[in-house]
Amino acid sequence: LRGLLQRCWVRLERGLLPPFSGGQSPPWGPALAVQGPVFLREPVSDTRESAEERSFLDNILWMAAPKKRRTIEVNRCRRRNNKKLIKVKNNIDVCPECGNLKQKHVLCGYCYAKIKAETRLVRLEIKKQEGGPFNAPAVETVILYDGEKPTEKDEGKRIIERPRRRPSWFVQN
Amino acid sequence: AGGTWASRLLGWVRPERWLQAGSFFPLSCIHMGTSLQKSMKWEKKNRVVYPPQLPGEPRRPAEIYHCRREIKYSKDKMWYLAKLIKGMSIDQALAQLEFSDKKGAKVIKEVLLEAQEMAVRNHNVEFKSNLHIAESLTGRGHYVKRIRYHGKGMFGIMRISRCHYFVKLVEGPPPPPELPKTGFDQAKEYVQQLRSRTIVHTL
Repeated sequence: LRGLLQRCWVRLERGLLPPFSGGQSPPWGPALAVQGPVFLREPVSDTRESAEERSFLDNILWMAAPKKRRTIEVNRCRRRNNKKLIKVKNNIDVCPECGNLKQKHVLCGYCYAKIKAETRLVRLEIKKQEGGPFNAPAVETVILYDGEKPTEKDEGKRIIERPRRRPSWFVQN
Repeated sequence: AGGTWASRLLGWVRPERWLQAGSFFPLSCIHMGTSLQKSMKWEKKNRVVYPPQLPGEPRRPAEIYHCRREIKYSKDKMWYLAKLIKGMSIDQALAQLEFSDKKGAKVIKEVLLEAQEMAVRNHNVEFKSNLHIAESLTGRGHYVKRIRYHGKGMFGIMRISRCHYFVKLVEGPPPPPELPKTGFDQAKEYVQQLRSRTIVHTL
């Protein structure tokens, strides 16, 4: 009978102590004096931190977590299904000008780079002629290459000279 | 709490542990593949020399093995590109890679062009377009751990991953794609299986 009573008492203690380890005032303390001891024990910042930690630890119980490890077979099924594989493109053609590959709805990269380089040199010429910012004249611009003279149509226009042969893709009007 | 975090962080920085284990227990190193030494098996495959073919034998198609090691890219992301070009002809593969938006596409394109050049120069391949990709694989390179700083003094440990890329070019047109198994084919196989059964332990 004494062994039974001892075991019951140990079980009661175990049952009482875990809630007490949370740091709250002991349940058998005086009910009216609950507020006082809590504030006198710790400073305000600690209660906030400990409250946050405690609520964080409580929230863990309600947060979603994976129950089992996803096997490599399941992972492979997800990573390798058709939606995730890269699709083969069927809109690739050959550029008739340079012979490089190009997408049907996009300009050829090589030709575009070529034109971009020439445009950059023309813009440098313009910069030299203008001298500073906000000096763009209110007239059209005409670009003339080696051995080209301005025609009657280019009367009032600004003329940019480029000291090279006219490239084949730059058609003169 | 900060002290325990710092000690846990520095806990994995112990490279001398490897060498110490080797010096104390030399017998235990016999079956350990020393991973500090890099294995260059794919490069060695190019050095295989076959005996000269007999006059009646069909011509053995040329095989070119090429790889690039320690590419700064993830092996899983690289795998998608490798899967894309598996079984294609080299021209089609180069076209697909040129217009792919992935970072690894540029790297794989360089590898393929290098391999094509090697094939024409060293491996007696007549036409550089007459190659197809028999195998294209990715492998894991060396990973390095680094600290990623978060807010409020928290940190995470990120891994900088690298990958290898292996490709095997074979001379000849690409093999025709395998047709998916039809129900009729499966039924035929089943009937064949049933017919080839024998009764055991009888006359």
